[in-house]
Amino acid sequence: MLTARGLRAGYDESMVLHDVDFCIEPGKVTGILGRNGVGKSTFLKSIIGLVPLRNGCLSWEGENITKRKPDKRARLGIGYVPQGREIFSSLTVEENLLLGLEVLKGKKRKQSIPKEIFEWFPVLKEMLHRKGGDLSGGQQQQLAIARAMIGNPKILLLDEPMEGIQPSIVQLIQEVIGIIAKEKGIGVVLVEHNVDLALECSDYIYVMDRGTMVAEGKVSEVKFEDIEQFLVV
Amino acid sequence: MKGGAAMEIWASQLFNGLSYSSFLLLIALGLAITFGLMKVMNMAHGDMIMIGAYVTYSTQLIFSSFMPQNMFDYYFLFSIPIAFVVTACIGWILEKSLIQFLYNRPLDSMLATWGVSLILQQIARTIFGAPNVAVKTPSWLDGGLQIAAVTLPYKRLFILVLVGLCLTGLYVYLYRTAAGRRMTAVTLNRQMASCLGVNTRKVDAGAFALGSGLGGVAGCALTLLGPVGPTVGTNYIIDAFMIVILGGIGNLKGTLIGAVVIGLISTFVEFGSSATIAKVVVFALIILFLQWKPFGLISTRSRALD
Repeated sequence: MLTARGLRAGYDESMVLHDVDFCIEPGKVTGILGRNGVGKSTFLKSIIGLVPLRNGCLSWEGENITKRKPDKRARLGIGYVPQGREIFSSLTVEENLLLGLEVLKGKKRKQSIPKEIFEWFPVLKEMLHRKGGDLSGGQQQQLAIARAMIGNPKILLLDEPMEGIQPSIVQLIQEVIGIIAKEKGIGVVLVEHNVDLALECSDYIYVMDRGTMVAEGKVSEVKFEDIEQFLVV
Repeated sequence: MKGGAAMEIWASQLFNGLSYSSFLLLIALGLAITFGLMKVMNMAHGDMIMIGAYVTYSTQLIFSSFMPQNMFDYYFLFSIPIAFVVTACIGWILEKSLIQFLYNRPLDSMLATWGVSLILQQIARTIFGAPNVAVKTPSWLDGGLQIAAVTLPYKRLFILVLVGLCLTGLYVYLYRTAAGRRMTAVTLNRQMASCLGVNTRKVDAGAFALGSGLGGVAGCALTLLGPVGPTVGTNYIIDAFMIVILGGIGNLKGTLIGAVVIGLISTFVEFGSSATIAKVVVFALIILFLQWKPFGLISTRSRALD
């Protein structure tokens, strides 16, 4: 569905990613593991288009999208939930959710927020008219995932969605990730530095170190001993 | 009886103050979008006011030569939307041809828009000549409303209503429509907005056009208060910046309060002294106030900055 070949990207003079090869399948959760600062977030940003590529090719269903801007990529069906969640803090929860509909503009636009969102995250319904900035971290995370899902993406990029969040919400988010992949057939990319969580959620994992993928494989076949050297500080 | 006379003076001063505030607000409203929300140091905003005023003048000329006599009085109502559209188009062209390359470069954008301002003034001088031109007030705006012993001129009441309409329109646009929501989203977080599929370039151009168009409407109102010349806009650009900064950048509620505060203070100080003293006092108060609250009356801070 989405394939990356030989990606090289970074900020100004310093290149963060070198020669990254990557592939996302629909209906599967693909985990990306790695220590802090190895380029996981930069990699996600280069997929959505916030970080320009220096080299390499990004293709979407066979079409080259390397030069497209983020809004065009979002319209293709790439949903993005950034690490800082990036809720519009002075807009209400409802307005934040409605912005998720922007991706569908011009297509057969659904004017309303789909009900299943509130089935997954009931707290958002209660908070609908509160300011996004008033929400707690865990609630903002649910809002960010909901906002991305409203646009009916084909793949969903999640940057550490469970970081700094209480265990019950972590479990909820884990369940929703499962539903999104299994029932909706969406390809989920999950960046996570907690090894246990990543292995629990994912079907396939990539291990990243120093800006490139150093190991990959099905979760059921990966041996922890093989990837340990890249993860233990 | 003496007490009654004092009340009258206070009441008419209060009305003058509010009327001046409403005019200031109209001037600042467009800048609150281009400078406040989009962070462009738009020195050409004053010239959008100037263009709006000349559009009103031109509409008057066209009506007096091509329209039946009895229609003439309504030219002013037509000139408001025309001024809005003309200045909005100029603003849109300006954004597409220049401003869009200068986002995040405040100094460059200030110099460039100042240059644009000079060019626009020269164009106005070439077309309409250097001397001021006068716009004839439609007859239905002559005179005033008599309440007790205080006369409220219709012109000033009209400006008050016009500002009210602009403010309501802007509020509805920004907070109740999808286009306004897109604009708010882009000003709050450009990158995230684009990741949600918002075409930020289109939104930028639209917002700049809207701000410029509001400047044009202010130009229409200006013609009711005085003559129109090529440099008329430069007289107001400082006031407009002052109001937006005092109110808190990126905040329309702040701009409203800022305009009312500055309008009332200058009117009342002017009543007790002179226009020059009033300017000095207002400037001094704003400088002192900004030492105390550098982000203005209403600063946008929230939990998101944790």
